Amino acid sequence: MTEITAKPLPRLDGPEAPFWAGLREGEIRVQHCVACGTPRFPASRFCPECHSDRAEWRAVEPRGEVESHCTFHKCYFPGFVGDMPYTVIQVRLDCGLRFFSNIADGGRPATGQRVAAVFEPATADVVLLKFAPEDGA
Amino acid sequence: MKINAAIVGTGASTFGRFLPQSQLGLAAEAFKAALEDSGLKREEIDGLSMHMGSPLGLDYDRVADGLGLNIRYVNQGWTHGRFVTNALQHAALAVSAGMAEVVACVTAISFTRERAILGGPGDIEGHREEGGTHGESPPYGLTAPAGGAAIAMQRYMARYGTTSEELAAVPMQIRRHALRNPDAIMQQELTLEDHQSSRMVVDPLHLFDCCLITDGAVVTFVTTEERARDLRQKPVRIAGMQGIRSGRDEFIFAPPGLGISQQPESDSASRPVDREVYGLAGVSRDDVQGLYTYDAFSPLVLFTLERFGFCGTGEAAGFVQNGTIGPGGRLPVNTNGGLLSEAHVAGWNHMREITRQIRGTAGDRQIPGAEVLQWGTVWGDSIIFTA
Repeated sequence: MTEITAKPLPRLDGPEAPFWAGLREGEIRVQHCVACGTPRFPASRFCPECHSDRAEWRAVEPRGEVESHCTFHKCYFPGFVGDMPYTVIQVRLDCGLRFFSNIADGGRPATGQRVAAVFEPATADVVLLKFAPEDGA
Repeated sequence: MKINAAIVGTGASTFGRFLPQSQLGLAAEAFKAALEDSGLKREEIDGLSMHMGSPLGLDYDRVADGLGLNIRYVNQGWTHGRFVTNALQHAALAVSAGMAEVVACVTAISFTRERAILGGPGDIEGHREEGGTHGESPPYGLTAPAGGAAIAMQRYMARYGTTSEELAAVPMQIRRHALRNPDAIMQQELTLEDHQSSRMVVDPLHLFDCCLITDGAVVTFVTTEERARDLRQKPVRIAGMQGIRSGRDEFIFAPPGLGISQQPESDSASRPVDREVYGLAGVSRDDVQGLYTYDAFSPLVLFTLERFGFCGTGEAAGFVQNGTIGPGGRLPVNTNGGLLSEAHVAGWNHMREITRQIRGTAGDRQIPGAEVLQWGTVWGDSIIFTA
């Protein structure tokens, strides 16, 4: 029963491991190309800009803007039944990378809303990247 | 290599919800109908191009074995709707290259039996670490194809001021086609009020912005133009085709430039690379008498119209008003009723309709003198069919 009603969780042992480790420590770490400095996410072997294979995981500014959103009224995944309806947002961080996420505490945002990262524990091992309206925004 | 291929037979099973038949049972029904339609004998089918494998559909070896075929060419696509064009293109390439004489494109799917694939716990690919195939991000509840389409439509609405009432013209007009198609599951008129009062599935998408979830099979036979001339039916020539587009510009349910997921932002205007199919087919866009597209969600129709340049960027919601895409309109779209109102056979029900239209056997839905029809999708691939 637990299996069916649980929310889906990310795996922590793949190429994105440094990202999830970063969230646990309150940082958004993404790959940066060592050759040209371009940040990228999800993880990939080569820089999509200059094709260098040298990359390092570094934190980016945990701030951005809500670009789009949608609200689920149909519960596709049983684990979310207690949250219905819930809103998914697309956030563009100031570094240019985008993440799908939620407003912490389940709010529904406006397009263009400035937001700051919230590091929200989901289990003992998993911290999710959520967002809240920026102070004063 | 020059494309030398035509559709010479088409057959379908019953379309419905929670049908008792297995996928193989549905495939057999459609296969027999296609043999009857084309006049071909089972022994003459020597190639298979499968769109959807197990568990949603069938794998090629099961089909060859189950239908008693001796096959010397096989193509099998990814188990996603997007591979519809690809499966037909590979059939055309195979007969053009002499790898097979007659390729059967077989699609037999039981969506109602495998519902958990659509954003539920059965959606293995939606849970890929680097993100799902429609932008799924399951830990945040973005777990279904409808989510990707909704987030793209919301952004389009914010950019161009498009409303849900305007979007409603897409399912309403496609429903009007379905009312003329006895095979269509949806047989009641769809009014603006019906659309607006229907429940939200993923806001901004109402129930009627989302396609049907059904079971059914369609089999399509492809052979060379020479062989086609000896057969029972008027051939439907595959005049030109362009492949699926991929790369950072692409998000499966958004036009390039809209800025969904990691897409770079631009004005989303149709580019020459989006329209190569017309030149390859030796036609112009103005020659196209009907457009067929993968209408899993109504926004995809708007995005497709813009991608191929039938209207300018941000203009599609205006373009579809006043019956433009409905029966007798300037550019009829999905005259079978599409995935929205006929059935979800992953676009193969549209291929069957294209075949009937070019043959001139589409009954009440017939586009007068249909000689040039286009299949094209929001992810950029396309086929031009001619008489």
